[in-house]
Amino acid sequence: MARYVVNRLLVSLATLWLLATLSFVLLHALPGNPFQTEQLLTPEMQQRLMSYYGLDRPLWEQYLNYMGNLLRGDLGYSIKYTNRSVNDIIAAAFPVSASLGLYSLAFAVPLGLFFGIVSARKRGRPLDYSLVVMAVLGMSVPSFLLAAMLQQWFGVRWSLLPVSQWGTPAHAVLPAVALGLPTVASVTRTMRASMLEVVSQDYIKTAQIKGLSDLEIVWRHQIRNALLPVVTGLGPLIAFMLMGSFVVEQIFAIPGLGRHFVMSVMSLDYTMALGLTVFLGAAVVVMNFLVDLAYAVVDPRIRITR
Amino acid sequence: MRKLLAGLLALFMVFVAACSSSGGTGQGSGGGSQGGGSAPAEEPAEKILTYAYNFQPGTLDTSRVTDNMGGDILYHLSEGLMRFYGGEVVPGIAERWEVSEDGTTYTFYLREATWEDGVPVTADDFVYSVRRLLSPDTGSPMADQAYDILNAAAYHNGELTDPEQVGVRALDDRTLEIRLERPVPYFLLALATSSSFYPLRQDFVEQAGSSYGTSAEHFLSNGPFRLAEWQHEASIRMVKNERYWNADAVKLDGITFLVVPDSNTILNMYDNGEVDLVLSLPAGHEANYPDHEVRWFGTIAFLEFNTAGSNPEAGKLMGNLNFRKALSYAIDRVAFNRTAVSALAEPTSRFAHPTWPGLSGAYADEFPVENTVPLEGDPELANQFLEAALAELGLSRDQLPTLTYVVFEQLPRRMIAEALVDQWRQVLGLNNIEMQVLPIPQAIQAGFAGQFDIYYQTMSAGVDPYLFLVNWTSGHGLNWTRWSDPTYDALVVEANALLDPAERLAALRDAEQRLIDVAPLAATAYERSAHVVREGVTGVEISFPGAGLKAIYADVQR
Repeated sequence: MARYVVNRLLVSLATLWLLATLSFVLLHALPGNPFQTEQLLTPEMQQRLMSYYGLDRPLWEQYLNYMGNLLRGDLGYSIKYTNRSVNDIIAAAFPVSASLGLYSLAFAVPLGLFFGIVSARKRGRPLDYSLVVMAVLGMSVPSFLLAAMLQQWFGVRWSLLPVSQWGTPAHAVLPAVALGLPTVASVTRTMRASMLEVVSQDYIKTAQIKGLSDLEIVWRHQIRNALLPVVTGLGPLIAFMLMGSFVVEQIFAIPGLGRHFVMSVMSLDYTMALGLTVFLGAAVVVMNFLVDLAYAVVDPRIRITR
Repeated sequence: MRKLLAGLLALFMVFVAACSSSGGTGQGSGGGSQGGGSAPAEEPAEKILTYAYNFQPGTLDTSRVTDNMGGDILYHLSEGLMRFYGGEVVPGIAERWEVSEDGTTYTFYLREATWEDGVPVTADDFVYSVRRLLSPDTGSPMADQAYDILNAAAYHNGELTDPEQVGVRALDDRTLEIRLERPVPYFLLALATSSSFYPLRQDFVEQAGSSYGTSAEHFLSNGPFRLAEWQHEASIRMVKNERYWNADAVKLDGITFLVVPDSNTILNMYDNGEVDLVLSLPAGHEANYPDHEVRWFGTIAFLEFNTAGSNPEAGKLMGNLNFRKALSYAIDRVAFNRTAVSALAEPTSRFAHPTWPGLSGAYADEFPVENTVPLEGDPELANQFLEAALAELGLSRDQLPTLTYVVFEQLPRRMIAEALVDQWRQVLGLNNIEMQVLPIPQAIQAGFAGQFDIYYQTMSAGVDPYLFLVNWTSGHGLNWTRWSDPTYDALVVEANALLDPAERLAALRDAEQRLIDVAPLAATAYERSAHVVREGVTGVEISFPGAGLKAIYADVQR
């Protein structure tokens, strides 16, 4: 077991190293420098800033420097957000994106499951059709349109909720809905399809022959088994929600990670873009590592074969 | 099974993160940890002015601030020697000042004023600020703002290492002397409208170290307001500074700035009463807000022609005066600006920003130029110029080298490019101009590298004609046109050495005339923007130059 853990740990570290290295090379391969902004600086001034930030040194030297700091958990200082460390910026923004994602999941997943079950149970009936239409709509309406519409109706026309900003629970409602509705739609669709597939399985027929009541079959056999593929899909979904959404954060003025991700690449803020990539990469790697460990505990065969 | 576990773990992680969120976001000042409820709800009796803009300042460190938002916030938190308010330079910490006869030595007499913690503001605070701005250890992108000061450039370049040799010194606690490299007639105006010269207190700044200007606890105010809280990417809360020397004239209890990236969201917030003003209405919304006002945006929009060309073939065309004139005369600036830029843009074919001061009025009115392109363009003349160019080069219209028009990857700029290329096609029958759409940093890179033939540029007009015209002298770092003209260089440099304002401006006008005649650039517009202020809010000035928002003496009636 110990050997297995060490093994997985090494693989995880190698993955992270590869990620950081690749991102570093790719980012620095982009033409331009962070000081070529719309507010034009003379080439002399750009040069002076490049040397102030150590960007004029050979790339391998910058790379070793960066990796050295990374080993100590130091992601460096942002270039665009003068004098703020990337660690600080992530520490401030990640909890916001993550909690918004959590709020969305908290209503979207149960609601999607419920709609999916109802839709499958009422297959071919008007309720089913309307739910399917809603699901298709929910998945195809882009989130910027949905967000803008929510804002316009609930915020401006009816003045029920704040138009934007982050803070009180009321502030979270509209963005959480905007972020969650597409999820409701996709979960509904998956759950419906899965329910319909399960219903034709042999064990359902067996249960029927055994004389179980309809409700019992649905609850104990159909839903439980139909859940598996839905839950499988939840992994990437949750990761996606956790990272924050550029569009929703942009429209509702939420100080989360999503915006930093896009902006840092667009403004060539090397340290910031790298730091975010490494952070999110690390989150995924850590998650996988824990999954692997848990898996080994659950399934003894893994310990033997590896 | 495996993915199920991954899902559950992820859910757990989100939960842990969410639980710790209340501690994470409130990294502004101490105290306000009640989850960031907006100020008016807690303190209903207070007069708070609330506004929003698309991005937050990169920093509030006066030596490093580059963006307009930082400039606006610092205008309210800090007080320099002078302020720009009500369309003129008014005394700030300097009660009065004297200028030596040769125009190179300025003496400022400071009033009794204190920092927010009660410590007096002294001349040394101004000296320290200039030295820090210029020090190579600071890495300020704005250091060249101070280059007019004696030995400033040399100290910044590292040619001089002793900061004492920079021409700024404290004669005593309340007398400051600034010596310049040469007479600079607009020096006071530049000082009053810049964000780089606010005083800094050495002990405080050094204690904060590299964190200075990044949070409320690491900022020290001497202005009408102090920084109470900065929630990054969310809000900046300023409250009245009772120790400000002119605090009696300040009516507001505070100003709250909200970071709202989406311009339509800002409009929705205004409609919903969540903000008191909109600094800049998104294009096309003017009609929905009939009580909007319009202001100069402080920029000149123009075309840059690369006179050396992106390649030798293109260089033959672009280096030809008649060809450049053909391009310029073909543009109907009135129609072009109305359809592709903004209904607010003021068409122009010269380089004289309406805010540049003349002798008693505006430079633009007092110093006219000749031979400018008619604002509606002149298709006939344009074609004559093109014929002349082709004859000189021995080319015909259907075998012209391809010209590259570098465009930002951004909808407004693409519309502008489409409109211009279309006019050149229709008026001149030119089919050889190709758009190259690039992301902004890469487009700017192409500009610096000369990898373009045509480029649509908008540039800050500055506070004086010289500051704009000097960019086009030979070898200037921002002169992308590769145009090099000794006559022009001499006019610009000599103009600025003249002490008599009338002679100086006349010489600058001659330089502008030369720029128009030789046409390495073609001016198209002075940009403007529209803003709205809620009824009941008074004393808010939204203008150019200086800070965009000047609300130190504003008042709010609920």
